[in-house]
Amino acid sequence: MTHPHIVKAFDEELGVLMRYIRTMGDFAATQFADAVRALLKGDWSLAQRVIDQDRRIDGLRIELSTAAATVIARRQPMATDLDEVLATLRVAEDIERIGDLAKNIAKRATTVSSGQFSDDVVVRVEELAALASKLLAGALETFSLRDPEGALAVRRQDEQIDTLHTALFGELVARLSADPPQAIGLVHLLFCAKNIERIGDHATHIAEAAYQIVTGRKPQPERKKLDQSSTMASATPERPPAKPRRR
Amino acid sequence: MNRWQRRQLTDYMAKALGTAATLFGLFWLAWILWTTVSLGLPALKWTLFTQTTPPPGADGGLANAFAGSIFMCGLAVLIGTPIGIGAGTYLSEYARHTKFGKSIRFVNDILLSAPSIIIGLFVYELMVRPMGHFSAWAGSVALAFIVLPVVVRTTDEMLQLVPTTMRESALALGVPQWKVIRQVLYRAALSGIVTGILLALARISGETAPVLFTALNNQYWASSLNEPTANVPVVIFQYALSPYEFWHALAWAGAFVVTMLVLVLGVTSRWLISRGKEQS
Amino acid sequence: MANFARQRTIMNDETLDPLSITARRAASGVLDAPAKITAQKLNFYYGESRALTDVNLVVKEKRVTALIGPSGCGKSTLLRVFNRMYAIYPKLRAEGEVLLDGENVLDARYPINRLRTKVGMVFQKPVPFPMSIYDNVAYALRHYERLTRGQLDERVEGALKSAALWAEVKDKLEHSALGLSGGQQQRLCVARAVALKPEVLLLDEPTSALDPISTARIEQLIDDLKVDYTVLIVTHNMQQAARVSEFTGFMFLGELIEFGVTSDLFTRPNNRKTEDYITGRFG
Repeated sequence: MTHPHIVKAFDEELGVLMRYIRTMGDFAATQFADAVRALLKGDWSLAQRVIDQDRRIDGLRIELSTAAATVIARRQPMATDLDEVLATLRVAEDIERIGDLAKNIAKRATTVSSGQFSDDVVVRVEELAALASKLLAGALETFSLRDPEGALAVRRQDEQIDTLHTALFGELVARLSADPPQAIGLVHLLFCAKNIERIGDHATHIAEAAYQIVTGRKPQPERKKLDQSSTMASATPERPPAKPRRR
Repeated sequence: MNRWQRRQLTDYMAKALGTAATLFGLFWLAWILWTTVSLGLPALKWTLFTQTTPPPGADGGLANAFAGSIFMCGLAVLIGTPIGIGAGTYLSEYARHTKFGKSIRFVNDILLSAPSIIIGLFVYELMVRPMGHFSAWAGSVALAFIVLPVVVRTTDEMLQLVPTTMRESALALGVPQWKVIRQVLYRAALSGIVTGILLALARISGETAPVLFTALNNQYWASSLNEPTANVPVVIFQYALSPYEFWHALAWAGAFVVTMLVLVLGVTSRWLISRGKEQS
Repeated sequence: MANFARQRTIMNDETLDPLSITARRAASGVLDAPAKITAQKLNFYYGESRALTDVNLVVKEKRVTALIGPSGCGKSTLLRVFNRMYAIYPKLRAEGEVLLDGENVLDARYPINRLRTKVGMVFQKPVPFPMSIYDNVAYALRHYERLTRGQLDERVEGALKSAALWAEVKDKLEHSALGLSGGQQQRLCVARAVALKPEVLLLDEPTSALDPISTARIEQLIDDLKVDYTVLIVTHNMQQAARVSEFTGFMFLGELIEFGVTSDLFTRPNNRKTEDYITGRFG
């Protein structure tokens, strides 16, 4: 651990930035969990609350930007200090995006009703969401603790999410053709699953930012993007899924 | 010859001329010292400091002359220094840019470069005539008149060299001005002021004209300070013009001692200045 | 999953202020502080030419006020009026009123040395007296107070601790002060000034002659000192003014152009000239 700054107020100001990130991160995680619960249980009032609360994250991000700009103007941070301040700005954007995605899930939740989906679908979506939540919590922790090893571990977890999402995508597309009356609900579910996968991506950005603050460079090797849902050609039960194209 | 070579040649010639001029000056100085030593050698014995000035033909030393010079120079410094420091302080601290201050400095400079014989005559009229006889007192006063302007000038300049910020820092603490001068400024300018005193001392140790008119000379120990008193410069004057060999030697020896004293005082004052510079 | 109710309380936490720590302290109680020094219609002359024009300024108690502006704008001149430093120079004179706790200190009847025990000053170039470190700090104390050796030791130690210098010099108090480094000498000057426990500290560009580490130490020192002293600092470094002060005044050509809460002045200045100066468009 290096020495604290000679001027204590500088350390205090950096601490304020970190507290903003923690608060925003915790709040976004809660929003995400609530949104998924609202979707799967058909709880419209919970969904509405998530939608209303989203502007708080935006408000916090604006305050954080102002605080970071003040630190840059007053303290003229150099080297690792500057990396830290800029990293908090990047991470804040990722967290805000996570909040938006959670709001999007909540919006779609207002179109479905409880008991609409079969249990196995619900279970798989829950599994995906649980993984993404764990990823987000892990990413926020590695950012707080500046833990580069933890950051690399978090990145690997994202691969699991991508794989799971690809499978879920195929499954949902198969059910679409099998069960037309359910189509609109399943389509919303598809979008929500995609949102969850993207939440996982943003959480990984946060972990990568943590790695970069400590080591000064991006993690190597480049993250494998295992999500193939955008290149899937067909998923009908009769025909086997198209061979995944190597990227 | 191209431009570069011409410049090099000019540089070389300038250096050569400068060195030659220096050597020229040093040469005469060296010769003087050499002459003083070689011609004074026969008389450079312990007896120089223990025996009094002898009559022609006898053996002797310069003890009474040294004693007289030491006394008169010492008293002159004791008289001239406090007055000089006081006046210099006034000029620097209270009258630095005033018209009055400027005129005092002007008069001081005149006194500084006044021919010392004029000062001797002045003190003759002032003290010797009214008293009716020559005396060591009169001699000291005449020398004090030479010390005074030197000390005034050095004190004034050394105090002016102390940075204004030091003055202001001390005054900003609410300490009255005279205390600031005494406790802070004098300490800061100390080496410079002492140098001034030493230089004055070096100067008066060789002055002949003022003492000639005021203390004259004495072959023996003066029994009181109200009598003519022996002193080195006048003794040298008297003995050098005499036809006696031994007196010549004594004169050279006396000159040698005085030169050495001036040398030591000069070196000490330089060392003091450099130490003062290191500390600031 | 985290409890949603808990998140709500965190969201309402007032400590997450958008402004920095200094501004946060400022916003919490700055307007409540009483006025320590009030300059009213202050004019200052160098002989015939006018250096300060109709300056009206309030310096609040136990807060840091900064004065910024281009060279020659009169900020140092204004600072020196507050301890009547100009009095030693015959051609300088001030007109108007400067009230310290209600009394006009420019009045000839106000004893100047008493003023200087209440208002201390630290100059741009650190100038320790040619004495030991101990004697430097004890200098004014010896003049003003009858203290035993033990009491004097305590006061000297207290002053050196206030100036964040005690740890570095406690074993060499008898050494000459001229042996200290530049940053240490400046902190010694601060210790010297606070030894008499004045109420106000005037700092005239205290760090412009120092390296960045010493500057940071002095800035931390100012943060500590403002608990006990009212501080008025002149600086040509705007970022420093933004960092350390709660109030800032911008001066130009002898006039106080704008004065206000520091974070406001630096983010939304009212006056065009102020904005041009702080964005580096002139001066």
